[in-house]
Amino acid sequence: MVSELIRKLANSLLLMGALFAFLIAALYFVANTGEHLDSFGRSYQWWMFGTAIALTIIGVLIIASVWRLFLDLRNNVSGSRLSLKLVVILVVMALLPMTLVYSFSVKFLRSNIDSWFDVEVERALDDALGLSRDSLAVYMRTRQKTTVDIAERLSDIPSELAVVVLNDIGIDSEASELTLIGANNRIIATTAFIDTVSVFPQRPADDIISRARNGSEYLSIDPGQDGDLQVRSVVPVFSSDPIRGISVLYATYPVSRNSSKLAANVQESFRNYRQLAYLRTPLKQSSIATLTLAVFLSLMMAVWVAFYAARRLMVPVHDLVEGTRLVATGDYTTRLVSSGRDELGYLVNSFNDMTDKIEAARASAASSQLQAENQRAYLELVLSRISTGVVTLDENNRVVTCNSSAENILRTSVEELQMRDGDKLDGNPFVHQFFEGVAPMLQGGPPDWSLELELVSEQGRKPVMCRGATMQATGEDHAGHVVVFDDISDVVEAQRNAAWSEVARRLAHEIKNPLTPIQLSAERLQHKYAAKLHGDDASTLKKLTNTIVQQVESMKSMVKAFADYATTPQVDFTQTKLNDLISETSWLYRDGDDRDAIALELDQTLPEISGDPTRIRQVLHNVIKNAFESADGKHDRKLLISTSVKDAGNNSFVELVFEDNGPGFPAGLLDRLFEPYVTTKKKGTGLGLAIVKKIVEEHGGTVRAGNGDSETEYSGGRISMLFPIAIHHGATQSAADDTINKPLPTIENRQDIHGDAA
Amino acid sequence: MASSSSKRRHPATVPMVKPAALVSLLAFLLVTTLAHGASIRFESAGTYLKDGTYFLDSFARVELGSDMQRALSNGVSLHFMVEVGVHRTRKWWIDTPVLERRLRYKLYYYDLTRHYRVEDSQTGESNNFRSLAAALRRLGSLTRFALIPADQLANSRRYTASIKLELDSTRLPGPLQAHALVSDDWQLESEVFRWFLN
Repeated sequence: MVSELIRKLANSLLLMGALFAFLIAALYFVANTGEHLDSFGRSYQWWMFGTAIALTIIGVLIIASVWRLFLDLRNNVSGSRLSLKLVVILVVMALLPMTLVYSFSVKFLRSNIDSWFDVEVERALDDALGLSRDSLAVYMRTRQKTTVDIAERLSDIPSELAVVVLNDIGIDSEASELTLIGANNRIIATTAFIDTVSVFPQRPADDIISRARNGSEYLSIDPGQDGDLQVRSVVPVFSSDPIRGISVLYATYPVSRNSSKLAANVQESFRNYRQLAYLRTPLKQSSIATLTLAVFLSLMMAVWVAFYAARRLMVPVHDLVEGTRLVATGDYTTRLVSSGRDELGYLVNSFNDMTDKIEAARASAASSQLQAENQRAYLELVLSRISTGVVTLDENNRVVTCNSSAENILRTSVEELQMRDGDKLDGNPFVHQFFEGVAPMLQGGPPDWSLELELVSEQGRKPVMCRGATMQATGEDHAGHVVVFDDISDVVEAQRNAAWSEVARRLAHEIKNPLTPIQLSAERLQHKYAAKLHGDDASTLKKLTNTIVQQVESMKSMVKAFADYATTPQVDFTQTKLNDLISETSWLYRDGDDRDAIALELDQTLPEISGDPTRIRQVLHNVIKNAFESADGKHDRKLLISTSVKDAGNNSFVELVFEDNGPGFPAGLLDRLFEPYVTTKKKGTGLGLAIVKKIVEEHGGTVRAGNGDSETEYSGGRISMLFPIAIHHGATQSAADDTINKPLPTIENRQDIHGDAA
Repeated sequence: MASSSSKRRHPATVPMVKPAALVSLLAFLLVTTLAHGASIRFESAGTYLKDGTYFLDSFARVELGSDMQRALSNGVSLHFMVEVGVHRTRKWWIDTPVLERRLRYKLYYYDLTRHYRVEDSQTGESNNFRSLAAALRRLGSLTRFALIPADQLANSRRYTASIKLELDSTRLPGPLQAHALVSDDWQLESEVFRWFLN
């Protein structure tokens, strides 16, 4: 705070200018006063006081500046070394001539003042004074004699006549004033009244009068009131009459004006000379002091000016150095304040231009980089969210990037794909088949191509639709390829399902129409001919018609099943507790049949699913029936139904698993198990599991079939289903709190599924 | 009130008011006198009422130091200044000035007739003295100085008169001024001498 103030003050041209101006004025005054013997300085001490204060302020500011420079040097502040050099040079430049001038000035001053005094002049003045005194003394003695003569003439004059006689004498004599003082110290007579100027006659001091009475005469010459000299003489007046006592005569005589003036001139010159001689030493001292002060002041000014100039010069240099440092560290926002029109100003302007350009270039680079980043992020996001697999390959057919859908379809990972060596056999059959399939297109195919592949593995088949394009680089070379591919198994399956539905619907329609007449005809046959026939014929007829009727019934139910499969009833989704449905349905199968052994392992914390209870019941019935039928006469058939919550990625599902101890599904049938008319049973439409699949998919779920672990009790068929968990749109939060922010692919928000189901 | 103060007051009456102060003042003056050799000390000062005017008589003993005597005999004029004042005393506050006057005198040596002269700068009158001591006596004494008309003073108030004599160092010759500013030898002034006017 204080140092800041001092810094500002030291940099203030105005303040320092005022201080120096004051000091110069003070110096002028002091010098003027010191040189003249008669110039009185009433304000002298105030000037000295002010000078001391101003010098102190400047001294403090200069010391502060020196200290700051020292600190700057120690802290390696840029420009400080140059400042030091500049200050030293300027100070030395000022100091050298100043010292020279000062020493010579002191020398000249001393000898000059001494040269004013001359022994001859002094003697001449002394002599002049002595001469004046002597001539005055002669004059005085003459007047004394005159006075004594007058006293003798007055000696026997009676006091009554004294006034008249004295006046007579006074008119004749040169005395300006004559006063006769009696023995009783009273004035007897005086000529003073003639002189109208003095009202009272002058009288000498009492001691002079009494001394005169005792015989010692008094004689003196004094400067009078008007500056002219006058001779005063006091003599006793003796009387022959002892009674009268001794009177005293007091007489004054003017010295002629001319003589008086000359004498006064001599006196004045003598006095001045004496005074000057006496004041020689103080004069020298004060002159030297003034000179020293002037030199000191000049030195201070030089130092301050040096600091000021250094600071002014160094500001742009310091700025430039600091700016360069900042630019070197990567800060391009620095702009320097232009210092003027000189070369430094030009440098500063150039620096600013340079940083402007760098800054602009950097900003545009950064913005385009940001744009590219955004573009890339956007593309990545899009690619990661689409179901189509995207793989990019470089010119050597090595995988550069692939999205998550590509990973899912090829059941591999980015790393595995990128590690892949073009010609080597891949561990993953899908990857191998995929690249084998697209290789001919990549090697020499058209720039845009499409291709349908079927990837086969132990887990099943996967039809894939591939499209590819060659990325054009500059010149003839290509820069690689982009291959996009879709898993079209759903599409193929949907096509197949649609075809089967159509077949079933037509078949049911075609078959259903003749069935009723056949049944009616059979019943009519029996009714009409049963009574007419006897014995074996009758029983044969009855048996045959019964068979027809039964088979027709059977065919009807079969047709109904087809119709059911083909037509989709309105689905009514509600919040459904799966566990309750399982308990209800399984109870139906256990009751009354002690051979049925359905074990339940239900997760009591199972969240609700969104489903149609009637349809889900049908699923349960179909699967349980299928399981029991596949056991096919085996005595101790067993079925385990279990539910659990399963997390798959971001979404949670309810898993429902059926496991039995039957023979299981034949391996070759597994991937087609849910297609219509695929069955292992001797009788059966093959529609049970197809309907199951249809319903599960209507609920947005998936179903999968497999065989259980042969080590366990339930080593037969295994069917598992996943249902998405219903979202509560109320205030209550379900167990899926951690996933609440991410919309789950439920029935409600998956329009495609609703669309399929409709 | 006026009649009671009509007799001339001498400092002998002051000790009745402030004996301790005067003793300490005298002691101080003695010490400073011994220390410097040059001194001004008031021996008496007092006022008396005559014809409705307060008159002032005072006498101060003035002693010049050797430096000053040498300067005087070498033609340097010494200017003296007498400051007389009348103040209304107030109990709880600074005294109010009623009158402040400065009288100036010039003392110098007249070589031609070997006289010391004391010049009254107010009237222009000058007196010649053979001896320096006589000149200094004249310089230190003030007789029948009409201080203030009595009707300018309120009867119910108390007034103090003060006097001070000093060498006016600002009227020294230029070369001596710097010296006088720093040197004790050239500091010559009396204490302020105060007494009750009424």
